[in-house]
Amino acid sequence: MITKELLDIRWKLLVFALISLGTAGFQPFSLVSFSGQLSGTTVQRTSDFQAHIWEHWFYLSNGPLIFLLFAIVLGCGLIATEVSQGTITFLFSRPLSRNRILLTKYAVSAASLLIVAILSSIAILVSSMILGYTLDMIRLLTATFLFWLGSLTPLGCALIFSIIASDTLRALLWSLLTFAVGNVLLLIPRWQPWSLLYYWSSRQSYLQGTFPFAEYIFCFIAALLPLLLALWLFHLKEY
Amino acid sequence: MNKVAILVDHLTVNYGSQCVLRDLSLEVPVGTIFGFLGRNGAGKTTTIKTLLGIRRPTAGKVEVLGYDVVRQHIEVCSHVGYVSETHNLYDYLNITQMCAFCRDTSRRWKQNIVDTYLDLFALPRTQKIKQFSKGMKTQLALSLAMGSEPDILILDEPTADLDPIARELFLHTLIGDIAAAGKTVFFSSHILSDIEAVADHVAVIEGGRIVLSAELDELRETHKILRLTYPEGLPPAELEYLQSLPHVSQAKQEGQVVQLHTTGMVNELVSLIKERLYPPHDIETLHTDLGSVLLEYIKGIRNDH
Repeated sequence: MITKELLDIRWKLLVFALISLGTAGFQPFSLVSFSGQLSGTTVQRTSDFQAHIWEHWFYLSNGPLIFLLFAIVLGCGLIATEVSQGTITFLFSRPLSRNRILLTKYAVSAASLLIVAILSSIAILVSSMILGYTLDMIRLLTATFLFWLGSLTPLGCALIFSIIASDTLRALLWSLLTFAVGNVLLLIPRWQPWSLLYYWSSRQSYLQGTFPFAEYIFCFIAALLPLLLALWLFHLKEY
Repeated sequence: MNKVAILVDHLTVNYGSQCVLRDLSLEVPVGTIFGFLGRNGAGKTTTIKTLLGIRRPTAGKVEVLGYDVVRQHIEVCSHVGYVSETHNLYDYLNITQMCAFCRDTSRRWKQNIVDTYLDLFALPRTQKIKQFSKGMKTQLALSLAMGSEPDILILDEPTADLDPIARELFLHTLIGDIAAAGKTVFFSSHILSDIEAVADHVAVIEGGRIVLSAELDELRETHKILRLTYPEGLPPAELEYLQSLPHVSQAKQEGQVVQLHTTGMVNELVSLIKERLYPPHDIETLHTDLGSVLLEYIKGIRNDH
């Protein structure tokens, strides 16, 4: 079943991986292209470089947008595509529980997001080394896993819409609308702590090196809730 | 061992406020080829989805090989092979990948059985399923269904897209093989000739209700035409009387001849008619065309069984 799921999403995965790796790998070069080489002491330069990477990959601009869109695109197709293509009946005729069906699909998508997140961080690391900058591996990994954990929330929400909606397009539109509304919160500073992205792209942990427990817990709960809701809905839904 | 393969007891299924199946009861004995007839929208696919546990009953009970389809859905599906009317297979996979998927999601899997059928149908292993014709998809779906060695094969309109040769192969060779192996076949169709060719038990569904459930041999035996020839014109009151007799579903008059379509008790009917004030001078018992009898049930003209 895992092979079938991977074959199903292979083109989406390939496109996403190329965009993500390309964008991530370009971020260290973007600093040089637009601002020139950093000056000052090595510590100062490294610190500024870390800040640049955070600002241009882990924060609002590139990484979250790419991962948000990809998680939504993946999640929307998980059940709605099976329904619109009529294969859901065949799938349900196999001796599999609905939990196993949904969790396998979800796990394949979540694993795809994780692999691309790690590869993107490796791309950043390699580009940085080419330019002669070093990145703190622990901070990079911590931020990458947090980033991935954050991306599971849009995946879970899109999965909910994939179960509720009768086709992939509707599921996609509902998911985009939900996250567009959700991210409006970021524009209002005092409401930022209510936004997922506030935790997803933890500046404090990345730049100051403290382990973001609260952010991890928040992102974990935010990822778990839509998944549990999706499992419940999938049990109730009649096809 | 369970002697009833499928038991449907007072099943009602609603889609929202619409009642699709009403108080439907069925019993499919083990080892039979059970033809399930009905026009489009009569409730055949909903019945099959309920048998597979895909749709939950609003009321009533459904058991497959003694397993409750709601609570023991996985057990049910591990004993059932299913071929859908729309051949909903994964188009982006080839046969080898599809077999791997089915193997991974089956409790028992016999690749050699699948290979036998794939060879019989000469299906190309490496070609994507999206390049297959509808007939090839049916053949593949059947081959895959056989791979898990099902005790019950549920076929939802399987012959609709087959060419005459493939249809012949399907009906006689495959269904024959399957039945010879003692498996139960639940065969839904709206093609009367297919059901007549292979089934030994038939049920007709109309408007979500079972209007007929009988063995085909029993139907042949009970559904006969009495051809009554009268010496002169028959009074209208007498025709009405004939029409009102028990087990008479239809009475047609053509000149001096009246044809009574019966659903049983032929000898008793003949005795009754002979004792009338206007007895016919000749009574002939004819075999009825089973296809037309079933058609009348499907159309809802008959619901007397």
